[in-house]
Amino acid sequence: MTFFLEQLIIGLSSGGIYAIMALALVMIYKSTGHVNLAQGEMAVFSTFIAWTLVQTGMPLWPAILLTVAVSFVGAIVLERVVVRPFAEADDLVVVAVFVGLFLSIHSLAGAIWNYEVKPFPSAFSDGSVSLMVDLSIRTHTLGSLVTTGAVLTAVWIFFRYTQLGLALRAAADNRESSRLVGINVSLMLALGWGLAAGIGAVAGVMIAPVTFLDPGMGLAPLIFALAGALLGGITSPFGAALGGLIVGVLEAMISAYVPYGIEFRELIALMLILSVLLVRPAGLFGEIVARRV
Amino acid sequence: MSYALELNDVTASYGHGSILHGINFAVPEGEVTALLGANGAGKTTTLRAICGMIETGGEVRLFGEDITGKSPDAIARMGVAHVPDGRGTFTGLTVMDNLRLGALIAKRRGNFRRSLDRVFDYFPRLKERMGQHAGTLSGGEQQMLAISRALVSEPHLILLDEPSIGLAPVIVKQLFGILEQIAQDAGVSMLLVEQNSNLALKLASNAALLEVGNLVAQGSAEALSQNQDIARAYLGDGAGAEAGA
Ligand SMILES: Nc1ncnc2c1ncn2[C@@H]1O[C@H](COP(=O)(O)OP(=O)(O)O)[C@@H](O)[C@H]1O
Ligand SMILES: [Mg+2]
Repeated sequence: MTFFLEQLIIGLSSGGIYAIMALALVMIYKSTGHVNLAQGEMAVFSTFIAWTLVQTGMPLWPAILLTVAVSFVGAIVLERVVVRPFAEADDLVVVAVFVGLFLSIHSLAGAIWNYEVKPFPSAFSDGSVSLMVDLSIRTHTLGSLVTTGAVLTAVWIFFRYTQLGLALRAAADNRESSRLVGINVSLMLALGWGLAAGIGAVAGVMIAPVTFLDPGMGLAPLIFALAGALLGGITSPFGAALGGLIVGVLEAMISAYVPYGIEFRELIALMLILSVLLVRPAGLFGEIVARRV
Repeated sequence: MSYALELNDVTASYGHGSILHGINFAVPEGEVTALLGANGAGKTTTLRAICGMIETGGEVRLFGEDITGKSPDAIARMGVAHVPDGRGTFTGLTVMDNLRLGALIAKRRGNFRRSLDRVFDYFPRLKERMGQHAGTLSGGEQQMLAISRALVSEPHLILLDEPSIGLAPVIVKQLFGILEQIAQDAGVSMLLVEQNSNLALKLASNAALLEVGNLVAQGSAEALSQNQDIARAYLGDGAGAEAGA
């Protein structure tokens, strides 16, 4: 039982990371209609920025906050310069742009920081916390879970209750009408990228202490986040976040209970998700809203 | 007389070929002006030109200020509420969020509650639908929502693009009753685009008539509805149908 609980917490902890990455994917998807394939690479790039700041002697938490801010601004510039010019282009062109972005950011990170795997400090104290008699969990695992939970809550409150969050949702729903109610749509699109990148940066600095830091670190989380988003429904922020959590738990359980699960967890997890999608193509919470004209 | 809106030699195009060929008319402050014309005459295009949604030449003045070339969101923030063709519903958002969006630019903060009460007075049905996705509303309800969204923005000028379109006659009658009330209540200026000219001319004090991108007549609503030639050629629901048969 305690073993199961331990696996559950570990699963929720990595699931929290997939959940916030999935949320970032949904934010961009809702406003552009495309999956930002470069989301993982952007998060890795952000993590390298944090790593560099720490190398120069900055304490980790200020370095993380500064990284989030830099990522926010950087992604706004990226959206303006690289993505915006193709806003009206064919789907395939946009996919090519995202693939190009993926490769460019990946190689840029490799060129600046090389491909050597680097340790990354945890934002939490070393060691573990004892939750029950024979259940102790690494502090980082718990800290990461709390952090991603806080991000999810903050994002939810922001979108649900603030005027800016409302304007962002409006711009994703109907651009023309948004302009007619006075919303600067192009600013909202850029802000959406900024937020997604800021969230991605948090995900990056939470993963890196576990997987170590190298330019290839972003791919697996991106795939799991995407799987989570598709599972929950890529049009539903709530569904996508829940999907991310489910994927994390699934991954942990398969590793723990299925023979050779550690080797095959990705495959098994993805196959389970695909089976759900066969039954519910829009995902568990994907909206197929009945629309009357 | 002071004007809410003046159009001087306004031209507009969707990129190739001009759709409006230099039109002139004005909307007197605090009154309802009807813009009439057959399908394809350029009425929707005129509203889009006013709001900066398409390439526009000539001059558009809002309460005397030149707004030509400004962006649609900037023009909206200056107090122009456009109830567009197709109603512009935020279909994936709730009715309440649609209304909150209308109120984003309302000048006086803290007035939202009162504005809400007012639109629920006009359209009690919306109140029952508050938490529902706006995309699931009926056509009539979406039109009510679009008008309410405009009202809660506390506009100086409302542009209405064929509010009657696609609605059952009873609903249209009800809607125009409420529009009349709105026009009387608030001292807001209105530009009402309609194909249903009988209805529009009852509500409006002035009218202008568009024909394939040109303004062919304007004057008081009364004069326009009494001009036999115009009435026979353009106005009334029956006239066009007979001519086409
Ligand atoms: N988005 C568009 N692109 C190109 N031409 C358009 C577009 N919308 C309307 N038009 C053309 O502009 C003319 C006027 O249309 P419109 O303003 O919609 O007329 P109305 O609202 O009076 O029915 C029509 O000939 C129509 O084909
Ligand atoms: Mg029209």
